[in-house]
Formats: sequence, C-alpha cells, structure tokens
Amino acid sequence: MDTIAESLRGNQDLPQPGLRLIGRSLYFQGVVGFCLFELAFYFAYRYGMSFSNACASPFWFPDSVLLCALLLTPPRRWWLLILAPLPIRLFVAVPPEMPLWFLLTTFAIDSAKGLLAASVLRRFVADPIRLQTIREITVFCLFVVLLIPATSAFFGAGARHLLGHSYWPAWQQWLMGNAVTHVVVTPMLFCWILGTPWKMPLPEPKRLVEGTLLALGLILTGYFAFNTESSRIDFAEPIFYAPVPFLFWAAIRFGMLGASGAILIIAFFSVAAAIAGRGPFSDESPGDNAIALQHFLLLRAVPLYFVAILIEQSRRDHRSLRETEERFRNIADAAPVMIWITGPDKFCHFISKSWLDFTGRTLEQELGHGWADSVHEEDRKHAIETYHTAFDARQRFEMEYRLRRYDGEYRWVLDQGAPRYASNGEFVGYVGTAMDITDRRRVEEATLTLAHAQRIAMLGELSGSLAHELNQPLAAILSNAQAAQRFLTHDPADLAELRDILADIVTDDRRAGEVIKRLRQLFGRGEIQRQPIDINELVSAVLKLVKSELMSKDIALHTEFTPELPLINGDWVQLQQVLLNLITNACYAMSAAPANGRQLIVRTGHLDGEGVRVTVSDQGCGIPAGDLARIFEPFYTTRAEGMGLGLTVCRTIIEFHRGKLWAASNPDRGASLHFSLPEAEESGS
Amino acid sequence: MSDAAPTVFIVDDEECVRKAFSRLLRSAGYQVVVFGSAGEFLEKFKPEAAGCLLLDVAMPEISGPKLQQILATRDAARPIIFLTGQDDAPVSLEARNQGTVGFLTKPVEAKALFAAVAKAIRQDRLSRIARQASA
Repeated sequence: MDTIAESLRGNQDLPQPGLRLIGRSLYFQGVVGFCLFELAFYFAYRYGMSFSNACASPFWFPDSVLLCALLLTPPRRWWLLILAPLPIRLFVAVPPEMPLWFLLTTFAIDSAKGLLAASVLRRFVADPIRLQTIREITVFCLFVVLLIPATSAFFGAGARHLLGHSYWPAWQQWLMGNAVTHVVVTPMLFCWILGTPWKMPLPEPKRLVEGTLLALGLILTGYFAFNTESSRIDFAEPIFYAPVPFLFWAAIRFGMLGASGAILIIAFFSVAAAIAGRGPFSDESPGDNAIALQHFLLLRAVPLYFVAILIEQSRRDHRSLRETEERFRNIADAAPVMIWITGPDKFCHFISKSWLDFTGRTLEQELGHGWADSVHEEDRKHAIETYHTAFDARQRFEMEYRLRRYDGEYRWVLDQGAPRYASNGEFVGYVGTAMDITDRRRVEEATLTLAHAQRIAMLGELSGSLAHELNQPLAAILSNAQAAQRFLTHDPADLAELRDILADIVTDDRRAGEVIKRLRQLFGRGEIQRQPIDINELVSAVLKLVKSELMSKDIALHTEFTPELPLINGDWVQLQQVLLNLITNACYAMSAAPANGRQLIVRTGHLDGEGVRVTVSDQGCGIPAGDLARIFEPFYTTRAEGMGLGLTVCRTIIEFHRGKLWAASNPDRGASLHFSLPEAEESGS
Repeated sequence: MSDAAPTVFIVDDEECVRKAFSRLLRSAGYQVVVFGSAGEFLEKFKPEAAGCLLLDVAMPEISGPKLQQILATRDAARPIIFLTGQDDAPVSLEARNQGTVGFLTKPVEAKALFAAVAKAIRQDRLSRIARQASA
C-alpha cells in the first residue's frame, strides 16, 4: 500500500485532477497502512511480553508483523518500519524492571532478523510471496523458521543470561518462540494479505458453502479438543484428534490458503486453552507446557503445509497441462491442414478435426491404424510401408495417396511426417500433416500434358534431323554387312577385315539403339523423374539430335562448355525439351540471315550463386526490346506455323526446376536465351 | 595413283559411314581414299588423279554441293555421286548439274552403289580421253 502511494506521489505532474485524487487517497491508504502496522505491532508486542519476564515469549508474534510489513514495502522505506516499533518498545509497553540496554539489544536483534528474513525471501521467492512451491516453502522453513531464529537466539540468550537466566534454556525458548510464530502466523499473513486473495474471482457458491462448513468444523473441533475439563487429558482421547480431518480437508481442498488459516484457528484454541489452564497443555510447569505446545504446533503445521503445496502444485500442473493440450487441439483443429500424431508404438494417438471432417468418420475409427481404412485400396499398402520404413529409420517422409472423402470421392492427399522427440531427446513418435492436393495435381497434370503436346509438335518439326541421326548408323551397318558378304567370297577370306566389320556393326547397332531410346523418351509421356544431371552431358545429347538440322540450315555451331559443373536435379526429358526449343527458335531466328553469318553459340557455366547456367545465342533477327518479357507469354509467336507455346512451356519447366529463364539482346546481333538451375541438394535431405 | 587403278574419293563427316563405304568399295576391287571433311579433301587431293567423288550432301562448314562449286571454279571438276539423307532432297536440287552422276539415299544398296561408281568412273575416263584428245 505504501508502495503505491509512494510511487504515485513521486510522479510530480499527474495529468488529471481525478488521478491526483486517487493518488492522494492511496497516500492516505499508505498512512493508514503504517498506522495499522503500528497498532498490530503494539498488540503483538504486548502479547509477546505478557508471558512474564521469566522467560522468552513462546510466541514472538511481533516478528511476523514486522516481516509481513517489510515485504509489503519497498526496501528504501524499510528504515521507517524498523524505527516505528522503537517508541512502543521503549515507552508504551515496557514490562516492569526491564533495563534500557536490554530493550535496545532485543530491538536491534529483532530488527536484524526482520531485515535478513525479508531480504532472503525477496531474493529467493517469487513476488507476491504466497509460498506456492516446494522450493519456496523449503527456503522459508530453512531460513526464516530455522537458521535466522537459531542464529539470533545466541545473542538473545546472551542478553537474557546477563539478566540472570541460564543460557541454553533461554536459547531454546528464543528459537522456539521465533520459529512457532513464523510457522503459525506468518504463512497466514502471506496467504491472506500478501497473496491478496480478495483480488481473485469470487468463488462459486458451492465452494463458499464448503469453506464455511470447514471453518465451522475447525472452530468446533478446535474448541472441544483443547477445552477439556481435565488438565490431565489422555493424548489417546479421540476428541484430541478431531481437528485432524478438518486440517487435511483444508489443505487438500483449499491449498495453502486453507492450511494456513486452519493452523491459525487450531493455534488460537490450543494457546487460549493453555493460557486458561485447560486442555492437554496445562498439566506441567508453564515452561514445559509452552514447549509441548510449540512442538505440537510446529509438527502439525509444517507437514500440513507441504501436503497443501504438493497438492496445489500437482493441481496447477494438471491444469496447465490441460490448457496446453486444449491450446494445441485448438491450433490443430483450426490449421488449414490436417494434423496427426502417432506414438512410439506407430499407433495414431491424435488426428485433427479437419481430418475427421474430411473423411466423415469418428475419432475412434481413425485412431490406431484406423486412418488407413480411408486410404484407397491401391495406395494403402504403399502408404503403410512408407510410414513404417521411415518410422523404423526415424526419418522424415513424404507420400501421396488417395483418401476417401466423406462423400465417397477419392482425393489426392500429400502426407508429410517427421519424428518428434521429448525435451530429453527421447523418441516419442511422429507428427505429420496431410493436405488435399487434388486440384494442384490436376494443374500439374494439365501442364505435363501441354508440355508433352508441345514436345511432340517440336519433334515433328525436327523429324528430318532425328531421322538423319538414326540413318547414319543404319547406312553404315548395311554397307558393312554387304561388304562382309563380299569379303567372304574372296579366297582366302580376309578374317581380320571380317572381324573389324563385325565389331563396327555391333558399335553402330548400339548407337542406333541409343538414338531410338532417346527418341522414345522424348516422344513418351512419362511421369516426371528427378535425377542428378550433368548439364554438359545433357547439352551434348541435344546437340547430337540437332546436328543435321544445323547443317541443313547452314548454321555453324560453336560450343563453350565449362568442365566439372555441379550436378543439378531434374527431369532429363523436360530439360532436353527446353534446350531443343531454344535451339530451334535460334535456328528459326537466323533463317533470314546471310549464310556465312549463321552462328549458334551454346555455353554452359557456373551461376553466381550456386548452380549452373546455360546460354543459347544466335546471330539472327533479334528480339525487340519491348518484347523481351512478352516472348514467354502464351501464343506469342513470330512463326506462321508456330503455336506460340514453346517458350511458355520452357519457362514452366524451368520454374518447376526452381530455375530461371530469361532473354537478352546481344550487343551486336541477335538474342541470347539463358536459363539457370540450382545445384542439386545433398541427397538424404 | 596410276590411271589404271581408278580411285573413289569418299568425303563424309561421319566416320562410321565413310569406313563402311570404303570397305564395300574395296571388296569390289576399287582403290579408296577417305576424307572427313570438304576442307580436308581440298587440302590433300591431286587434281590430276583419276577417279570419282562419293560426296555427302550435309556436312558442317562446307557442304557437298558447295565443294562441287569450288572444284568447278578450280577447273578440277570430276564425276560426283552425292550421298543424301532421307530428307535432303530439296537441298540436293542445287547440285543437279553436269558433273553430277547421281544421288544415292542412305542407306545405300551395294548394287546401286557399284552401278553408280562404275558409271562415274567410265565418265571420268571418257572426259580424260576427250581432254587428252583436245590437248
């Protein structure tokens, strides 16, 4: 309270009169808080000293009041709280025959205890101090209840020794008095004042009723347990233990708030009865009674607090776990993809609502291996195998399969999974997403079809050149074979010659077979196959195919290959298609050029970043500057018979390979088309 | 090379093809000299050597018909048999002139080759005799 008043008062120019009023009222609260402290300390001190000056007080309550007030106040104002009790101790509640030096000494010791305890708690316990974790209560018991009182007791007992008391009993009384107040009163002050329970939402009526019943039970059992007629009560009497269930009830159902309150009630009745000379703690000498009572309270309170905190902590953990789970479920259900989670047993443990909406099935149906039921029969085996193989190797996987939708339609789904690990590195299963890619696949298929159609059209134009490529080995084979037939009729037959001929026939036949294989690939309409490709090898293969085309058009070929280029990842046929397109375009551009100036330049090289670059340059009519970008648009063509799809398809193919295709004018004559492709990634990624 | 043994000069950029034709012609008893390009032929051949030319139409740099023109300008014309691919017909039109004995489309049957070569060599002999007579 003082804190807020202080901070608001320190703010010199509060903008609004309303706020200034609030500031003043808070300052007023600060003053009231200070007066309350003074008052509380007065009563606590009087009560503490009332046990006669024969011994140290069995319940040194002023310590609790001071510690609580210190923790409510910023350290720069502590001096005020330390000095405030001095007048009370010197002038107001002075027991008879108490020398001034003794009062000053105990004042100094108590102040030091309060400052030490407050500093330790501020350093080690989270603010606000409510003793919520085992660590916090342990720190509290160790320092505030045990170490600080035990240390101060040496000095306190020393002072009492000078007054004539024996040292060790005084030490023990000092320690116990301080310890008991911090066990019985301080936790209650922490929980009920520092913890500001009034700021929490109002509990449900049911809980209020329960709390009231509990308080009543504690008061009744507390009263009857300690207010027994006989001072010689047997500790085996059941009535003595009647409050115990209520104490546990408080700790289990109401945490530290309940436990600290309950202990205070029990302490009140047991102490009041002992003072009145009734109950179980009244039949020995006053000193022994006090020690028995102290032991009783200490040993009831401390275990109870630990129980309360353990239960509260597990309840909190449970709640935060539930909240985390709920948050995850919300994210998974709202995500634009379907999400699944499997455990280390390969069984599906969670599947998002989006999946259930998609398949129209229930969670129970999909868990375990149930998810595979909706996978198309033809894809199921492969899907399960892919998952299991990746799972056993703890590798990421990616697969496509057809999944039956709620309406019975099979949709293509891309499923990607990755192993997941707990924070300690333990493998705990897989997590993955599934996405409907049917529409994307259709577009891809249409693109593939278009690319194929364009390729067939282009190959048709090149048919003469392609036939030539096949014709050469066939011509050689025929002539070789006929030569052999004739050599056989010679006498004697030239066997060395025959051997050479047969070797050549084998070579030429293989070459023809190679050509046919390449053409079949080009004409075919296969799936896209990504493979590591040496771009120089690919360019050479294409140049072989167009060799006679270039010759028949009087085009001189000039190649500049950079050796040992990085491999790229791509589809052999589609990339050949791109190059064939660029070369036939270049040939066409040069058809009107003078015969001695038709030069085609094909270059390969490194890309500035990581990858390769291929350039096809011609000495033809060039491209108007304004059209350098337009040439890639569909149906842009300068040829009478062209469809205008060649470069469009080329760009699609190159972009599919994550590369770039662009055109530029040559400084002298004609144009250059360049494409770049990224370097193949390391396998296994 | 003597007049008695007529030579067939083969010019083709495809090694396997010229090797095969060379063999076939040798099996029939002809002398054969092969060249990988028109340029090589122009560099090495002797204008006075008797014989005919088996010439590929489509070759890089200097094509078959162009070589024919060059030989004509150097006054070294001789009978020529052109070898064409299946689609080279339009190109070969420009080669239809006096010195052309015929066109053979690859793959070439041995019979057709021998007939054409025999005809070309006869023509070469006749033209040489005529030249000697006029000289």
